[in-house]
Amino acid sequence: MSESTTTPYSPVRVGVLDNDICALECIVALLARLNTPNRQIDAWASNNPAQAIQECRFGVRRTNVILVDMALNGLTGAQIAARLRRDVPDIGIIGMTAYQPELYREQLHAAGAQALLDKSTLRKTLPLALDAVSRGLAYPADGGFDSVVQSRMAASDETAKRQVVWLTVTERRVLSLSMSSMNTREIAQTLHVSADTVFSHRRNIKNKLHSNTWYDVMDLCRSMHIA
Amino acid sequence: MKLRAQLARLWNTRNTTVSLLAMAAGLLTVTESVYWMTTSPWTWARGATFTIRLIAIAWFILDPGIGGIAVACAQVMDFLSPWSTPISMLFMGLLATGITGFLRRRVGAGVAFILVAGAAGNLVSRDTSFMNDGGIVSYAALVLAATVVGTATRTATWRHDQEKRNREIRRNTAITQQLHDYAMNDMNDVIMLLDEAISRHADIPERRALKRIRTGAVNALTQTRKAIVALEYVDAPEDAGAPTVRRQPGTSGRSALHQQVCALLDEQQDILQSLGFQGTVLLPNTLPPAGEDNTDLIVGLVRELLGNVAHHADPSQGYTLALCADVEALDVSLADTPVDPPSPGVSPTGLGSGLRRYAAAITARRGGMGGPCPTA
Repeated sequence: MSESTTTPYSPVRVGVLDNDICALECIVALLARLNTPNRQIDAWASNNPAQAIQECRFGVRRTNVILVDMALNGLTGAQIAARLRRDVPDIGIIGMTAYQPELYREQLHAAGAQALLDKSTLRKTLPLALDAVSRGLAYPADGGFDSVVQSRMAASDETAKRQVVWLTVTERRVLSLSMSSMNTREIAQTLHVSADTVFSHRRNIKNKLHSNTWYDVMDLCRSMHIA
Repeated sequence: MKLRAQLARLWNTRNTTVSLLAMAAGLLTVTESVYWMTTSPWTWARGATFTIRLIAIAWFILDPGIGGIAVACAQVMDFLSPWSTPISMLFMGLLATGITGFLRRRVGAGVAFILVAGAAGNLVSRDTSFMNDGGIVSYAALVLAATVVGTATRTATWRHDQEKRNREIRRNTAITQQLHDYAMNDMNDVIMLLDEAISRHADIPERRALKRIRTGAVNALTQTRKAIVALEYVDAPEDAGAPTVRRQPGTSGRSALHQQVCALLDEQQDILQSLGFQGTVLLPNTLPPAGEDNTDLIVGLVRELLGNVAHHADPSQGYTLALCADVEALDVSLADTPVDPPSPGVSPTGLGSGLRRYAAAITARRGGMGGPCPTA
C-alpha cells in the first residue's frame, strides 16, 4: 500500500490514557489537528486506567489505537498494554513517556505494544506512528516492536510456554473443580478441606503460573483448553 | 624517578589518621633507637639492625597495610638479636598489628602470628628474657588484644560507612523519584503546551520567542534525564528494611494491604465469574503499607465496589478494577456498565448507603470519592 497522503484512510478511533491532565489535553489537541479528510481521527481520552480499559473492551465504537503513558501512579503502561493485548487482541498500542524511552522499550515490547514515543517529540512522531499502528504495523519498522498480529501470536506462545508447570495432585483437583464453575465453599466440601486450605492451594497455583489473580489463572486455563 | 613517583602515590593515598599514629609511634621508636645507638658500643650488626628498623618504620608510615609486616619482621629481628630491643619497638609492633588488622584483616592476622612466633624464638634463644616467667603469655595476649581492637574497629567503620552509603542511596532515590514523577512531567507539559501554541499561532511575531523557549525546555529536559541517570544507583541498599521506590519486591516483600487485597480479589472474582462477569483487575506489583485502619477501609471499599458490580452491573459488559498507588495516595477505580442506566437529569454519581459510609471515612482521611471520570 502506498504512503501517498492523498489516499483516504478509514476513520481511526484513538484512545489516550495519561494521568497527567495537561499532557492529556495537549495530546487531544494534537490529535484534533491531525484530524483531516485524509486521516479521520475520532479521539477519546481518560486519566483513569479502569475506565480506559473498559472503553477499549466494551465501548460502543471499537478503539483502533490507544496511546498509553508509561507511568500511571504505580501501574505501568506495560501492565495496561499486556492486559489490553489479552482482552482486546486486535488493538494497536502506542506507549509514550516523558522519561528516556529506552528504559521502557523491552517491557513494552514484551507486553505486545507496537511503538514507544518520547512525549517531547510527539508533534513529529505521532502522525507517523498513528499511520503505521492503525494499520497493525509497528513504528518505526526497525524499532524492535512487533506488529499487532505478531504480538497476538507471541502472547499465545507465552501462554503455551506456561504449560510446563508442575502442580501437585491436590492443586490440579482444585484447578479442575474451579474450571467446572464450583465456588470455594463447594470445592472445600468436595475435597473435605477448609476454605482456607483451598485458598492456600490457589495461592500456590498462582505463584507457579506467575499470575496476579485467580481470574488470570482461570483465563490462562481456558486459553489452554484445560477442562 | 619511578621510586619517587611510587612514594608520592603512597603519600597521596595514605590514610591520614593511621599515618599520624604511625608517625607518632615511629618518632618515639627512632628517638629511643638513636639513644641506644649512641650509648652502646658501635657494631656493624647494630648499625644494620637500626637501619632496617628505620626503613620498616618509614614503610609503615607510608603504607601501613604492608609496612606492618616490615615492622613485625624488624621486631622479630630484634627478638632474635643478642642485644635488647627498644621498649617503644614493642609498642610499635602492637600498633602495627592493630593497624594492619584494621586495614587488612588477613595481613593483621599474619603480623600477629609473626610477632608471637618471634617472641617464642626470643624465649627459646635467650636464657634471660622478658618472655620468661609468663612474659610470652602476656605478650601474646597483648598481640591478640591489638588484633581484636583493629578488626573490631574495621567492622564498626565498615558498618558506619555502609549505613552512610545506604542513607545516600535512599536520599538519591527519593530525589530521582521526585524528578521523574514531577519535574520531568512538568517540563514535558511545557514543551507540549509550546508546541500547541506554536502550531495554533503560526503568524504571530512571538513565534520565534516561543521556539527559543521550547529549545530551552528541551535542553532542560535532557539535562534532567542525565541527572536522574547519574543519581540512580544500581545496587539496592543492603539493609532489608530500606524502602526502594523503584524496586518491585517479590511475594515475600508484599505488604499486609497487598496480601489482603489479593485474597479478597480471588474470593470476589470467583463469585462474579459464577454470575457471568468477565472482569479485569489492575494491581501494581506492590501496594505500600497502609496501617491497620486504612487497610481495613481499603479492603472494605474494594469488597463494596465488587459487591455493587454483582448487584447493579450488566454481566455482558464486564468490569475493570484498578488500584494505583504512590507514596502519598491510593486510587481505587471501578468501571462497569449499570443494568439500569440512570434517568436523565439524575446524577450518575449517586452513591448507595454502603458507598456513602466509605465516602465519609475517606473524606475524614482527606481523600475524595467521585463518579465517572470525564472523557474528552
